[in-house]
Amino acid sequence: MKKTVLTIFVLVFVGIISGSAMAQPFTHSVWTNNNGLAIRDALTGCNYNSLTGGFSGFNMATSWTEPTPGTPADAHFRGVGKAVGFSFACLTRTYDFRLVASTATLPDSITGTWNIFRNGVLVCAACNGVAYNLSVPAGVGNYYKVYIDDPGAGPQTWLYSGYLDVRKDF
Amino acid sequence: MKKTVLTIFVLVLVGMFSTSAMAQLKTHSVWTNDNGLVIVDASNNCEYTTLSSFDMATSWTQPTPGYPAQAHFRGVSKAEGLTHFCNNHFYEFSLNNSVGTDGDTIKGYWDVYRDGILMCNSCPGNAYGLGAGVGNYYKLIINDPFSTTDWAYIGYIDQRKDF
Repeated sequence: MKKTVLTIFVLVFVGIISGSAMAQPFTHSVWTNNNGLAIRDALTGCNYNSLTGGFSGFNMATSWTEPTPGTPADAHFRGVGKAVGFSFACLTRTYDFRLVASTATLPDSITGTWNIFRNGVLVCAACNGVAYNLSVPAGVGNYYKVYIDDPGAGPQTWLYSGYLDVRKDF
Repeated sequence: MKKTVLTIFVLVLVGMFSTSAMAQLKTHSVWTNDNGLVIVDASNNCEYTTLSSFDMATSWTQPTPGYPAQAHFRGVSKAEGLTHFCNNHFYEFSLNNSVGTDGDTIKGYWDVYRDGILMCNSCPGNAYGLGAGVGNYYKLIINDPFSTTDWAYIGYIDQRKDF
């Protein structure tokens, strides 16, 4: 009898814990501290990475709370990279990737619409895109990618990819 | 003549740099890693300073208003109270929508949950002190239309990133 009561008690307790764990939203934040991997410009076709001259600056800060959609302020993401280019066609340019609105968030990804600025000029307005691989451990060489569709150049033609240097999850 | 041309060239160059610097938006992110100071519950008027866990992550880009994803803020804490009236509660403060940001402040509408129950629904408030250095504290103060007390979520800045 005692054992049964105890079992029921444990089951109820586990139920409460898992119930509250399920109901609990999760917040994540990831930073890149001058540690870029790749930028692709959909309009010029230029690929920037360590082989082409690298980056003289590459930062990113994002934070988001699952699940989206919920509120407009569920996610923020901005990455700014100064890509160094040597060829006439692919010159040194500053790229600014900003989340406009999120439509879905998971532990690993932010889906939404994005604005892309090149040297301060808006070159892709409210374009569809996804940031993914955001859930991997930080500081060990893992990287995330942001793929954005360009209405003219085609799907997944813009790319912003950097290393995860630090992260916080709770 | 050569000197004049050079001077004009330098002035144009300086002009270009300062313009691009002005046009440059600023992004900030601040974290609190289990390092809270105070929570004030506007519903029961309890002030908690014993916080067994206290985390916060925010990031924002100036200026707002621009687009919905300009700012994100969420803080979660387990407050410990010893009296019957002010007992243990789990608090969650989330930014619902931002209406204005600068280097130090996020102004907007906030949701406050206590033990998973929505206590303040899209209430107006400001998070400020966010521009301070690591080791300082910020305050989030939210006006509750049904209370004479404001909700407060006050914690330390443990890590920050600005670019």
